[in-house]
Amino acid sequence: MKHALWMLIVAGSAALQAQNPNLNFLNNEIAQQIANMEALFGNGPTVVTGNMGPMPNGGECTIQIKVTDKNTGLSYTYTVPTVSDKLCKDYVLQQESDGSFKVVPKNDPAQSLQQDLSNLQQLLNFLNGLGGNLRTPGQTAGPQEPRVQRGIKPQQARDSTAGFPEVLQLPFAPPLAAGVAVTSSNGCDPGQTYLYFRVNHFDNSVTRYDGCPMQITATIPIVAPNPLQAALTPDNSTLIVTSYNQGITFINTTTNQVTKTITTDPSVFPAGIAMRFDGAIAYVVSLIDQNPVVLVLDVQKQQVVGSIAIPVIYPHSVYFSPDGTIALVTCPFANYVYMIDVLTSTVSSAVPILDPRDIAFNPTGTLAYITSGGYPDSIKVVDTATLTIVDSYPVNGYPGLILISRDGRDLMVLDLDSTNKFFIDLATRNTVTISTDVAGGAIVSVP
Amino acid sequence: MRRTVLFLLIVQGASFAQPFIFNRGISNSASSLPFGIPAGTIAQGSIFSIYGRSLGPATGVQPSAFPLNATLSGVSVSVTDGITHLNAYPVYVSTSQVNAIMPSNSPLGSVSVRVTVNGITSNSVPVRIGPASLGLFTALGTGAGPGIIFNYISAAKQPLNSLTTPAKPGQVVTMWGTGLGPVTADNIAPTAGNLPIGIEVFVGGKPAATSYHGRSPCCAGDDQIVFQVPVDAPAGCWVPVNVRLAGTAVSNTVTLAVTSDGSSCVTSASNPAKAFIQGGKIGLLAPLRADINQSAPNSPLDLRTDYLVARFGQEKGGQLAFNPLVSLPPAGTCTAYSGPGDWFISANLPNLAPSVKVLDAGGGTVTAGGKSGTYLAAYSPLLLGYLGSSNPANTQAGDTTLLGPGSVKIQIAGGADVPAFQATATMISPLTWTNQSQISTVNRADDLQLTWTGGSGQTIAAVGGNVDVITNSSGIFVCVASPGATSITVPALMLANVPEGRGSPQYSKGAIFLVGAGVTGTFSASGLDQGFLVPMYLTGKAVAFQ
Repeated sequence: MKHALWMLIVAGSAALQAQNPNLNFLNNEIAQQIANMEALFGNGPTVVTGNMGPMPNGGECTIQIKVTDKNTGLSYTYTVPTVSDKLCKDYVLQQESDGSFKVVPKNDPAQSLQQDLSNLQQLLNFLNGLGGNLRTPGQTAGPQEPRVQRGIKPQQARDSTAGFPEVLQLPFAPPLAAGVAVTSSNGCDPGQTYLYFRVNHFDNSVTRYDGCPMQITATIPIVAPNPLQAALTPDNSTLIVTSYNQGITFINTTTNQVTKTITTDPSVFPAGIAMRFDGAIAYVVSLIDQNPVVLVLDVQKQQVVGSIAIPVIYPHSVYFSPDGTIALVTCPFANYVYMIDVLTSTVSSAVPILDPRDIAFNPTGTLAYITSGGYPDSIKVVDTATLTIVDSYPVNGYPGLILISRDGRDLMVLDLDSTNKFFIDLATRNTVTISTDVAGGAIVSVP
Repeated sequence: MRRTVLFLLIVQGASFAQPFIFNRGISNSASSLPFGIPAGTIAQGSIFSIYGRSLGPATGVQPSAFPLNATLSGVSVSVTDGITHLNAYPVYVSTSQVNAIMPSNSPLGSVSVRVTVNGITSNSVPVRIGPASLGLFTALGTGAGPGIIFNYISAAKQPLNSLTTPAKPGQVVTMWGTGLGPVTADNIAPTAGNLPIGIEVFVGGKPAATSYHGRSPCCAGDDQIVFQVPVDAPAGCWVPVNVRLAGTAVSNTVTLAVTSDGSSCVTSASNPAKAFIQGGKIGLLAPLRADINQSAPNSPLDLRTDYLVARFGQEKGGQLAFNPLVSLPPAGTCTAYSGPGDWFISANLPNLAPSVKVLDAGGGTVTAGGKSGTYLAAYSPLLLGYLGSSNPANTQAGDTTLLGPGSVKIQIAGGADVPAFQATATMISPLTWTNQSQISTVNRADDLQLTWTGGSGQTIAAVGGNVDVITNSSGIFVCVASPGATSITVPALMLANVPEGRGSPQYSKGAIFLVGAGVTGTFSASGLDQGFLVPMYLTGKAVAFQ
């Protein structure tokens, strides 16, 4: 019953997906995964093989890339699940002369491109880590299996004089959504207002859903490319969207019109965003290795009013405590969570956590639940008073997005390694794993 | 040579660990009230406490002479609002706690505080600064219970007010606090004199005449308030005392023992408070029926829940004994408590836990009306053992309540400290809260009147308050009705430090309860010096505090 309080908005819902093709991104991801797997074998000789087609048991269309160490015979396999049958029909996985693999059209796919892309979007949303053995739907990665190291040795943020910044392949995690959502299966109340915005990273838009059950009511184009995360003001009047390619977009939710787009400095790569409880300020994280910062937005004035330097590379997401006095910034590449004193806009302290991704505060702000991809994968519980890890909830997967129930008793965690979602009863420590047919996406609560 | 250098580096690293201030770890040194409570503001010129780790030397250090310096034993405290940067004056430094005087010229509003230890600076933690916000010192150091109040008998004889040395009505007393307001210099011996702020002192709700309110000449940051116990002040072991500044800001509430002739405060033998004063191993059992009106989003919801309140603990007792469970204000008066935490979940009021240790008596089974309910042992620190409930909105769950009028049999399973035993009680008849429907919003600036019928022969109390969830702060009032009364007025004074509601049950938990308690019975159990049995009935409602 209490699970009825939760729901998923899954990115893979074909009817709700993006419209434009982006095979380049898929191919870049495949190349990146190959590089990651090769890196695990050091610089030794490897053999890379690939396959695209229905699973051997006749199931869904799948892409598999295998990297084998010539010296030891050990191998890593990268599997992209839930590819559309039409993709298998109209595209092939082709090895290029340089040894790389690319998905290319088998024939003219123009007439079916829109359909394919809606599924490709689902696939791409799943490619959200720097590595990992992705599983077919319903499967869970076993903890004994080789894993690509996601967190890397802590690195100090580099100064801009050190060369060009290393831009990440995105989305590094599923694009985030904002709002309150419901579907008919949740027994929604027609008298209530439900509002949900989904960020479409690959077609530069935001999709709005309203009603009971929810339906698409608007698709709002975003000028700034590659939107990633969104945050609503407490009165739901304004949606702020970050775009990795130097944009912060303000949308009037009454008119569904963009009211302002801030083009950020070229050195800033907006990613995570958080809105303080009073809606006065928002923080935007620049996901980059050189001079990473957290931008301070004056929400009312729709201006950047300050920036807070983050001392390590690639700060990813930011979260305000419920009372808005502190904010926590996850830095998965540096294996740290940084604390910001909101009043003075300064980095206050830090706590080391392997591959921290996302954070949920309990209602009183005394505890922060932080998803950690460091082996063994777990939810770290940080006492925000002492900034120490006081507990840990292991999960059999790669914990990504996390949400806490309003009564603070349950967690819901999205597995980045599979299509699984985890429900954790914090008191009993019972974890229920729910296998879904779709991966990635965002998690939101139902009032 | 290289080895020596390495060794020195290690030693240095061990000596100068990064100081860390706990989040929400700064409060008025006297009241300990948190950020989310109105009186949680730190006053200019007041003494405040910083809690954390590696904040100073292992052994506490205090300054030995004026003037105070900005650095004490290598420890300094900075205050900044991003524009103005000032140093506070440390008056006590140790590894886990620093006490300092907030500069009288500190910027008002939110500031961040940092501690620097031997050149290494801590994280910063926000606090709110106000021109005046009084905290009253308490004997137990928790901000609740007996105040640091001295009865004036003569210049040479001013004993600390306590259960064995109460004040008399009309007697002059001196109360200590911090936060009456700024002075011209914080780091020198203060000059005596009233500070320019309006002050009202209340003893059991009765206004007291004051003759001094200003710094103590002895001690920087410390304030003294000299007042006369009102001649019409109620007598009691724990008479509430609080102070209102400038007509609005109300201090924490402390207690003063008052007897008509100044002799030792005495409670009746049947009152559990007497056992708490004597000390020893004490058991409290209270079968409790709770009828709560909860405002759901679309319609009111009436929930009935039966509990067994069980508390087993060893108490130290003594002339400064205090526990909110039994240290009630005199009949016809109110008191107030505020502090960190969600008290509607943990009931973690100051001094509520046993002063020596919790006693393990295991779980229990309660049988009444042909039904029984069982709970497992837990302590948090007051166990509400759930027995059964009924919810009209969820008829499928059925009615599992059992504490109707009549006999109640209690079987305690026994634990490491208290072996199994049985007790029997008789449930009391329920109260009817007659103006419940008229109260959905409480304006904290106004007195609040509660009326009821029924409850003849019972001790009736009103308890209410709010939890500000996002600042993790709670504030409640507790009023005890006069015998035979059918109404009680909660003065605005006692509502002042209830956190304001935020308009959503997600962020606030406001509620008012009327509680009826039957005649206190006793029980005997091995491992306990005394056992008390009190049947109780509670009717409550979720409300919003504005």
